[in-house]
Amino acid sequence: MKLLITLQPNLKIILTVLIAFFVALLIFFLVFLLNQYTIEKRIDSSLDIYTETRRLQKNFYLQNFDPNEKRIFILGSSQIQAINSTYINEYLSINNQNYKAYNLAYPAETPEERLKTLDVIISAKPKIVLYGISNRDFYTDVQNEISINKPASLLPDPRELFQEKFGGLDIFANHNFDFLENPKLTTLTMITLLLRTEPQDKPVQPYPESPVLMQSRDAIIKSDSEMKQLASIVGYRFTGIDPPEKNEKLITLKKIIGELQKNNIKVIIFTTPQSKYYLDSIPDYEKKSFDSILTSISSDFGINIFSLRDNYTNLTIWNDLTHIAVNKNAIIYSEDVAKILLKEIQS
Amino acid sequence: MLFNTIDFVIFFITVLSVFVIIKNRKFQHLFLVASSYFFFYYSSNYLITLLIYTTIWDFYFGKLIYESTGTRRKKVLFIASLAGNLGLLGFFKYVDFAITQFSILGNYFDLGTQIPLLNLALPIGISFYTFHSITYTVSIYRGQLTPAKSFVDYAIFVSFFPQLVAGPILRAKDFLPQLREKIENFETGTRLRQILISSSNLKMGITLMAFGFLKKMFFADNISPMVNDIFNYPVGQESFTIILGAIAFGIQIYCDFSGYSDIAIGAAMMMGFKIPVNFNKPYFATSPSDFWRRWHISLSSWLRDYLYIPLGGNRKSNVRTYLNLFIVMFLGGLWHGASWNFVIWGMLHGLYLALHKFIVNKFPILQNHTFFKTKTGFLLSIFVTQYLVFLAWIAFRVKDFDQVLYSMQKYVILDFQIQQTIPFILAHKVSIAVIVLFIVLHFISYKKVNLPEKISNLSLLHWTICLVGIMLLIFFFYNGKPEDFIYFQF
Repeated sequence: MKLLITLQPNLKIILTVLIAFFVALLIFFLVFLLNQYTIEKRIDSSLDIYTETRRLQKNFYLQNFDPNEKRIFILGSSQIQAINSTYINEYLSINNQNYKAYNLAYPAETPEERLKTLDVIISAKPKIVLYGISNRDFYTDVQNEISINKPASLLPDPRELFQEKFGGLDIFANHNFDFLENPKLTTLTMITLLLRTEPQDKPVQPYPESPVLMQSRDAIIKSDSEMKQLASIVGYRFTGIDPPEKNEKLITLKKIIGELQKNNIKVIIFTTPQSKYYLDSIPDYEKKSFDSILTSISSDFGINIFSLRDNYTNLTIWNDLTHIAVNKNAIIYSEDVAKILLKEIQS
Repeated sequence: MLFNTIDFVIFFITVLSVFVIIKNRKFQHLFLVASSYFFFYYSSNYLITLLIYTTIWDFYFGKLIYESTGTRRKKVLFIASLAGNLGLLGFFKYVDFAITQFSILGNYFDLGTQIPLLNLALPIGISFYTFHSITYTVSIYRGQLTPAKSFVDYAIFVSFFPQLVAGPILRAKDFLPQLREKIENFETGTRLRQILISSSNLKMGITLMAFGFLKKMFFADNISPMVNDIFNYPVGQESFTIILGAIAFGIQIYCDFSGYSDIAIGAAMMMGFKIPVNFNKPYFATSPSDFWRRWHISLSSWLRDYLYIPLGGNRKSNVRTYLNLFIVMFLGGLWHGASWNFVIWGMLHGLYLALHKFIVNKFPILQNHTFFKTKTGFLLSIFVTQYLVFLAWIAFRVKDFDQVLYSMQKYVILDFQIQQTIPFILAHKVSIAVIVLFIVLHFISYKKVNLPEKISNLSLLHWTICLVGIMLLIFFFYNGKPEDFIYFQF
């Protein structure tokens, strides 16, 4: 009895701490789960960027082009998005080249997708097509981004907990607890969204002449420590690149290049830049496979392939591990692309 | 084992629970040694042998020193015990540094002295437990302490897990008696005290630990990305960026280290042990000597009692006093790590202390001048002191010598450029906001004297609200990866 009396104040304190912990945890989960729905909503709206880009590009190809205009089409996926076509046009003009470049990148573009619009591309009669490619374009599995290095966390991962204990129950299956991997990142995203004055993260067209859309978050340049942090959370699954003769994506790309060349359109290929963190994660066999793809393209069509892959690894111009920010401070990328174009025009 | 991991939380709750269950004092002590060794083994593996070696070495040398009658024999034994401790510390911490310097010197004179490095793993906490242990033999040698009654008691003192890897540095004469405290005002007046978890200690301990976690996980870890971006390669940065970096690092290291100390003191307090305070608002210090009375107090007082005073302190000539101050701080810098940047940091502080002493000696009127009693004089004293302290932090943080020089030059000679500083600030809004919040809270803490104690004395409801607030700040701004404490490397 006496022991119970002496223990009582301690029990009260322990109970209070437990209550405080659970209240804090509850608030934490509630805020993040509520926010998740808001973010998901915003992501849903941002998904419009795909359809909206396609709509814009469709209208672009259907327009009546000036027959005297010498057009350059820059094709590729979201890694091309940061190429500032306005800057390139100014650069070419300064160098007395009467060309007009259009950035026609769209997110998650693949050679198969591009093939569907090849007819309209050819009918638009560009003089040059500049195509940016990377190893990512030749995977069999496109969704290769995964979470890695799950850090030891003060907070238990409810997913694991429930998977272990109640593997058969699906009540939590529809919830995403990824925010536990880096609560700070989620908090900051949440604050940014809350402080935003516009009602939505509406996509904007960064270069007036090009049917390319970006969201405001694409312009953010991440610091090196943020990139490092991102690299510790995001990882890539390298499922391997099929050899050139079996690689369906390469076969499609070659078909595109062949058709373009047949229609007297000059094709220039370049490899898109990657961050040092992404490059470090690529296994050697993957690099070799991609090199064999490049050799195959170069030898089949007799074209130069320019490499920008390692050019900006140490610069603070990255939006994430594989994308340069759509930002004026990242103009070096557009500058180098402009130089490639000028060199090829003059050759 | 890092304090800021789930591993430690589970470990600590288990230890406390066992203390509640085990009532026998001897078993409690045995369990405390076992859990402390487990704590150390968890992150240091076989290097635990060094900790055990230090414990055995000093336990027996302590006894031998105490039992020896002749002064000469006592001295020889004392020197042998010191050699054992400092030899171990020197070998594991400084041997590669010494080899490198030897090779550089050899190359300079073209002697072809290329000795391969040993690449030894630096045992975590070796600087701390070596210093703990030295206090034991020194106190016995000076006749201030009788040897520990049992090996277990001594092993607890050396390996006590809350402060094992990063202090505060304990003193044998303060800690050992706590293990043999008699029970007072309780039913059996003469029995030795068990480890009892009292409600007041529990509440205060939890509050201190919460403050420690907040300092480390919210403040220090959210400031560190900005500091890294400035000082990982500072060359090319503008003056204001460097100044911002120095301030940010000063706050980061304070929150990191005093956070660790708070957790250690809180954890020990919950088990009924008193660990001395290690920080007392150092950024309100009004002179270099005042700074060292407030920063890493357990180290500065150790250096004073075991190095400065034996060197002669201020009992000899003025010049000797300045030299002693310089030597002590030089060694204090070297204690932090085998690297020139720590030496520069230590020498700078040695210089500050010596200069301050010189001014006080030369112009005694200044010390009691009415100007320094006014608010302006007080603020000016703080500003000048902290300007020098933050300058020295640059040497502590930046590893490369050329980069240290560049950064210090930019800190002292302003270039008045802001082209890079403004975008830099905009890119690190979170760190800036955290710094501002720290400054506000630090000021409140200064005004309110002991904030953790005040919060601990709140009613349960208000205390709970404070805990929830602290936990929320930690949860929402936790980057998912527990960061090491800076002082773990020492």
